[in-house]
Amino acid sequence: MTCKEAAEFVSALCDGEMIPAEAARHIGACEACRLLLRDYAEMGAELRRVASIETTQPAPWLQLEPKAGQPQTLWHKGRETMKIPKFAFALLILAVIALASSLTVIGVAAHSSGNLLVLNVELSGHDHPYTGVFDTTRRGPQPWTVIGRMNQRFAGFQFELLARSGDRVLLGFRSKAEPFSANGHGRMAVAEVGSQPQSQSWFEPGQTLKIDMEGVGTLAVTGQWMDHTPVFYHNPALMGETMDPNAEELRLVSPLLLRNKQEIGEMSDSATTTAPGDAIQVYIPSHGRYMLSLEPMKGAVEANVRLNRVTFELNGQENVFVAGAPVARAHTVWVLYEPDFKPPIANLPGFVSSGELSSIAPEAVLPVQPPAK
Amino acid sequence: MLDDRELWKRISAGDAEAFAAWYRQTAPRLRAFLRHSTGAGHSVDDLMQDVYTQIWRHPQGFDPDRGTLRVWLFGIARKQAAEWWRRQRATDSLDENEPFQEAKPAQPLSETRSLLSDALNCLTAEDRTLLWLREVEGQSYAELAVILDVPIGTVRSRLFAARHALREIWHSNPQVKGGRS
Repeated sequence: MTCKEAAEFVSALCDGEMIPAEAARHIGACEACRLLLRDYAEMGAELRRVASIETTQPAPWLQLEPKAGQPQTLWHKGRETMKIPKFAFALLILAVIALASSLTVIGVAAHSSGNLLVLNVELSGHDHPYTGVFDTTRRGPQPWTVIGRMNQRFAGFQFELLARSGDRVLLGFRSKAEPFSANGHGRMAVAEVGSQPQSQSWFEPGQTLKIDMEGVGTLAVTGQWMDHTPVFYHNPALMGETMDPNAEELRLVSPLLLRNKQEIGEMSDSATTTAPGDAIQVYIPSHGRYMLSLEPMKGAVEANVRLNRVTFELNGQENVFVAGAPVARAHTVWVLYEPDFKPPIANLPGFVSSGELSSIAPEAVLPVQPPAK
Repeated sequence: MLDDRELWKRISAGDAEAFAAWYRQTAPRLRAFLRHSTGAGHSVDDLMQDVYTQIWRHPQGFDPDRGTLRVWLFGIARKQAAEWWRRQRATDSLDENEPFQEAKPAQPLSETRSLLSDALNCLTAEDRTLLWLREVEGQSYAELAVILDVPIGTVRSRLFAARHALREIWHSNPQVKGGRS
């Protein structure tokens, strides 16, 4: 047998297949065929190595349509699963509708058309609800992560939209909680929350999903379908209300940054702060991070606020944040620019978020001045 | 863990939860397969949606006597990938005046990119598909015969041809250690 004749059997041998005895004898004695076998094995190992890395990437979320022919309504479901006279079943349905009429009103609102899912999350014992928006027309993972002080812990949770079936969605949930450090501060990266084990639950807007967050409390998740992103979605109390900021509020809605009238970056996210010591951070890849606060920060410059514009000067250049809504009642805010800021995760897209300054930029906290005697 | 028959009974009955669980279990590997067999880039997620939507809508196509659910899934994906290629060719033929894309300068290799995966992209779509299913997914000759709808003997000869072609391209790259050919 020649090497050429044995070549196909080398490939088969690489796959663990049985080959003719004559071919096996030739391969065993032929250096060139053994080299070929080694090459094939090496090629397979390399492909598996590349695949091992790629298959760790999360799958894109999936949109499932309700199946044709599947029971869609209570009437259909009842007809298929109950063996009682039709008129008795009809009476039963009427009774259920009468008893649940008050709930029906809520249900209709929750099932309004739209491809945006607005989730409201209320934590027991916590004043402010959290709100996130998922766009079901977008492909790819859309994790929504919240990190901060939650009751007596420093904690974070993350929701992810995994699939949609009609009005229902499959939500993934992760959480992490830690006690505060000795100085009363906490620090947690989004990746730390994202690496926690994920639980999954089907959720239908109009219902309330209860999730226990260990050591923190119970989350009550409600939601609704909408056809647009509410301007103040990050603060449900403000949804549909006046665009004027509240006292002590700093709000940055979908900001655009201009430097010497040239666009530096445009963000679709929004953030708001209402508590003393909080700040808003705007990260623009390749430009760095801007911190905005109603209070002075170490290394910050003063900025003028006029309606939806925040104007400040850096290195002799005029910078302007133009937001989608008025920014603050105050006429002055402080802006700290960190051109060398690196987010905790590489290749992170730009973001706008808020939090305690002592957590997101502890080095910018000014020391407390002793009271004057 | 449900066996194939039980899982399929639930999915056929419209159990979205069972389907979503199966999707999450299988999707990352299928995505890698589609990415390499088509090189479709951003279109891979659309292809994924097409594959799983087709299965969700028409689960009756699965025959447990012909192979596992996984074999059936990759068979459908292969057909979708082939259809994608046909559409691409049809689109390309409309753009006859379009200049050929100039060769890009050499890019640094990353952990998800290697000389061999670059060489793989130079093979025909059919050869890429076959090698990926065998080497990465570990499909047996019998399973490959079902997925590709060809006799087992053809699987063996096609696998050999694909390996031979890949090795030729791989070794023609001067960066390959030893420069064997």
